[in-house]
Amino acid sequence: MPVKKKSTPKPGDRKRRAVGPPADWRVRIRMHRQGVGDCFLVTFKNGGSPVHMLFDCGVLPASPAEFNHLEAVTAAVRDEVIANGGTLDVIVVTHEHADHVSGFEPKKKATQNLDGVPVKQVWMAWTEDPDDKIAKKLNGQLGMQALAAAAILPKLKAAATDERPGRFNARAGESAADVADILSNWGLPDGQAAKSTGQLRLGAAVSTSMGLALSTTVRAAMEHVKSRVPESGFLKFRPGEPPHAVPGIPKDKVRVFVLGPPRIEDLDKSPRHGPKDDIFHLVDGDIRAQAYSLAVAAAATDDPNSRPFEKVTSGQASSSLKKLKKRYNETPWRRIDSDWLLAGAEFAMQLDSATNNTSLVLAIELVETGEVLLFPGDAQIENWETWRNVKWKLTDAAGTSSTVTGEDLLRRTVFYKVGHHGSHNGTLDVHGLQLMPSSGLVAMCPVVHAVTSKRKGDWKQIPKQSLCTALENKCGDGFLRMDAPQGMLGGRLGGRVQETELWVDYFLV
Amino acid sequence: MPPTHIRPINFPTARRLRAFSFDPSLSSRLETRVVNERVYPVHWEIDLTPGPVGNYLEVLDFDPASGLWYEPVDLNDPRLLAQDGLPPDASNPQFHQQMVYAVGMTTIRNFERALGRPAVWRTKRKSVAPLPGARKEPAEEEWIPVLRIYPHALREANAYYSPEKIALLFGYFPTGDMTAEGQYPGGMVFTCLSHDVIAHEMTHALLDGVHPRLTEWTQPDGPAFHEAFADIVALFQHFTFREVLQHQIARTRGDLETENLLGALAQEFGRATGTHGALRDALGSVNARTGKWERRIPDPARLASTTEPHLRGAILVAAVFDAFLTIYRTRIADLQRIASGGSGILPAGHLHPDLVARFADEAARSAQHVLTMCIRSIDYIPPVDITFGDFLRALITADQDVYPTDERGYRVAFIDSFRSHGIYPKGLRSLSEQSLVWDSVPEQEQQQDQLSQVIARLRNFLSSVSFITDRQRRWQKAYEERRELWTLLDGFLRTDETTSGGPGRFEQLTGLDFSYEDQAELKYRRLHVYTLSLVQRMDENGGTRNLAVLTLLQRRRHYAIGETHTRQNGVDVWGGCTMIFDLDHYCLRYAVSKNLRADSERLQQIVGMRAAGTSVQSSWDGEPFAMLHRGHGCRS
Repeated sequence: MPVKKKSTPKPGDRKRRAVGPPADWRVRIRMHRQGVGDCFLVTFKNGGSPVHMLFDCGVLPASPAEFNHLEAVTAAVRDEVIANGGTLDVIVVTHEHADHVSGFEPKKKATQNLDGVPVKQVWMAWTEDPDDKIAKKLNGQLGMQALAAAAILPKLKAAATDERPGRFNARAGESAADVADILSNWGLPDGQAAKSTGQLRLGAAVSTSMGLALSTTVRAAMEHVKSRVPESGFLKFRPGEPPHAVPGIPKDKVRVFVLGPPRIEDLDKSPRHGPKDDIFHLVDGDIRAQAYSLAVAAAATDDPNSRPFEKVTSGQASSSLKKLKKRYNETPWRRIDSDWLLAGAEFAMQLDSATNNTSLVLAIELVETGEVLLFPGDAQIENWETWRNVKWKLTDAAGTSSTVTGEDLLRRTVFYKVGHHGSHNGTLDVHGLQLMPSSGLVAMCPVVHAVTSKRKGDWKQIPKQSLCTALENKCGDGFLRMDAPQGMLGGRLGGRVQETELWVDYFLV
Repeated sequence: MPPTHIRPINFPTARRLRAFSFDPSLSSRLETRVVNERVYPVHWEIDLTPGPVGNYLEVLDFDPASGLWYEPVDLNDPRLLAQDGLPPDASNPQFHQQMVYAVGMTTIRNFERALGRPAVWRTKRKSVAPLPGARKEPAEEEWIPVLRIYPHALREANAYYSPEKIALLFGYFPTGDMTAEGQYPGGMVFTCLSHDVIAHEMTHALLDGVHPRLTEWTQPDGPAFHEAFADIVALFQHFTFREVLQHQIARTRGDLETENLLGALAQEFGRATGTHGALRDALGSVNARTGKWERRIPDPARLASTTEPHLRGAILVAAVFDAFLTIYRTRIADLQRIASGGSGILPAGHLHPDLVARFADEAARSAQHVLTMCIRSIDYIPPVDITFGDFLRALITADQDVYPTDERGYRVAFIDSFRSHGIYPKGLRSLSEQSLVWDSVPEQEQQQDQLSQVIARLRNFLSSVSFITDRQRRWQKAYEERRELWTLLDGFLRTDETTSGGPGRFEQLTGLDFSYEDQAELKYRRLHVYTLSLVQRMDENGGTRNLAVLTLLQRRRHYAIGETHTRQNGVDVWGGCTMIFDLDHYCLRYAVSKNLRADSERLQQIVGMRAAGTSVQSSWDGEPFAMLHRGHGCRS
């Protein structure tokens, strides 16, 4: 396949669109090319008065400049909306990760581009509902996990460079990079992570109550989005609730089904998970207390409550103990000085996947044709697994009732926003992708391999090769990757796929 | 002066040590409190020093997260000798040291009994740079006499065996204010106080000592096997505790299958080992309608659709568990008839305590037999890339070698149970006992000159170590012998091409591949004589059998079509062979191989899976068990 050399795009480039939209288009899905991250603008033609929904807006932290066009992209969104209709009808924020929200971070240039555009509604998941007890607990736990990971990070880094025999730990270096990546995507870039351990004392006070809210760049972005609308315009969605209307479009034309994130009480009923859930680890012992006890140890804050034994008196070591210590020092390769730090990396992993699993999952149904556009955010398979248990009992205007299930919606999917940038666990196979139709499916994958391949840990495997193969087989020319060389996309779809350096458009006709 | 009468005092056979039979959480429940403490009779080590530090284990109680060392327990303190060690107490670190030692030694004993030889740990290998122009010599190995145990190494809900440090690392964690059943809010949970966790981790270490390269796999049974085997040993070791069984049986009226206490037992087990309910689900679950625990109906299709290692491993555990239940039922059938006037239907109400005791005896005995059968089979498994089917074949073969007549139908029970769980070896036309037994090496192969030389060496080796009991000296001898064998075998394999260039007989027998395209590749693809053990077993007629188990390994670099042959490209595929020699009859009985030849079915499959992007290939990674236990080791 010939590869066209890609030049750095300039804001002016976006005008280079080749042809206009097909005459009979109904919905346009625009995947922006800001870099690794999500920013999708869905526009309904709506009989000439276009309605715009923006799904997320962000780019992976520390992306190299040549793969970070967030400013140009928000400007493009602004120009597009202002030119057509003038209002951003809905901003959907799927979850709390920088690669989905950094375009909303207050005072950033990219954010300011959009600040002037009026917004009607903001949609988020129930996890952002301040009155929801489970949400509160979950967020408290995530905060504590982040704190533990942040407290461990400097120690991991130190362990990675400690070259005394037996202490050097190659894995520590890899883990440190991984933890740093996860934390910065969660809104704690390196400097801030170190500062947040100062909140440990606060952590002690709340470790026995509900939890801990850390101030992060991502949190600030979330709050900024909420502030764009009056309270009545901020909607918190739960799976299975009656379908929602998009403001400005009659409900018998377009309705929106919420598939996830699952509610913890629903999980307990699903046979796969049993009493434990591996989505949020919420009932998996008290992760919060565990994370706190680890954080305290890492920050060397003296909290007697986190010690394993209450009655340990310090005194002279016996001669037997001295012998054992000598034994420990004589065999450096068997030392365990830094092994315990990897628990912090584990908390970081849990933080990352639990945050992905808080993704708001929306299925937009075009009622007349029954077609479905699926936007799963970064939901991982644990989240996907619960969709088939979601059911809606609907009554139409004539009074006839029908049942819609999550599985129905998947079977009618004609557009799929590939989950979690194409990671190994961002798309469910048997009860997910395989249910989607084999003809006419279009999938957009917001990924830049040149960026992800240079990362550590799980990012390295993104996008997963076997998933790409499956999507290519299923969608053919309808598999649209953000990082495809410009001009290569679309193929047999002709004018229904159009692209510039800043975006890829797919027109549903 | 009148003569004094002196009678020498023998050393005790066992050191009696108190410890939990489950974990501390059961002591706080009235119904289980009475059976949660037991005395472990531990092999008496004469030179045990504070730690405890013995010949097999050394407990070093350093807690790096708290920055503390805990004083070691001195089990030879007369005050402790007189009262079976320290009383079980979660708040005393010295009791923790005592418990890991007691359970650890119990597990070692079970392995030694089943394998017919002293337990050894993994060795430390140092590869040696070759002299210019010379062949690369085998790696130098350092004997590691003791497994190290750190009871408080981690501050997390985790415990693992580290092959890199040849050590067990146990963690502890606070329960917080959301409490699981039986746990004290704000209390600490110590993984080193759970019998099941200790036995599980010990088994990883012991299995790794026998087969240090089982962590190489190319299919999903690979990672599942180590976990499942560790669970099997922990579970059945638990069932050999007579007093625990007696209590359970009195409550369940002898029926271990449908009543809910065994289910509860298995549940505790699943919770303790942190397998996220996988094991619990595989064995059975509480019926929501009746509120009673029920055994899960085996589903032969389940294995094929399960890839996650713990879930997959749980199916293997369930299969062994079902075989155990069948064996137990058969063993108590006569007792049931005797106690019920021949009807076999026991009267309502409590069972007679004598009958309970007899049932418990039978259950404990069944468990011990199942445990021994499973452990014994590891001498008969391939040294890399094991499948569950291989395990079944090894188990049947090993048992048949010791008990040619299967009077009680144990083997049938296993075959039947494995079939009902969908575990079949590949490529067999029938699941009869005779087709499951590994193929014996044909007579004409035995006459081979090369093989005769090997057997002759092994015979000499046997007589040279026969009277050595010291573990280290035995190992040292075996190590020297392996180096000699390496020289011999390496020579065979290099000259073993037939005139037509096809595989030689030795290559065919072992599945190793010394055909080559280029010299560089051949240097890489060198032979490893990995382990050599002598096994002494009693057969069913009371005679002794002398076997030698030799494992050969080889690694080849596999490149996809179009990939250039450089170090950065390609993946390592390990293959090898477990050879079982009968030293009494001068013959090679079995050669269990994982074929490495390019034209073998196995390699074709690996190639196919790689091309399709579905390979689950693993190669040695620092702490494979830590990752598996933390739960994200091998997501595929």
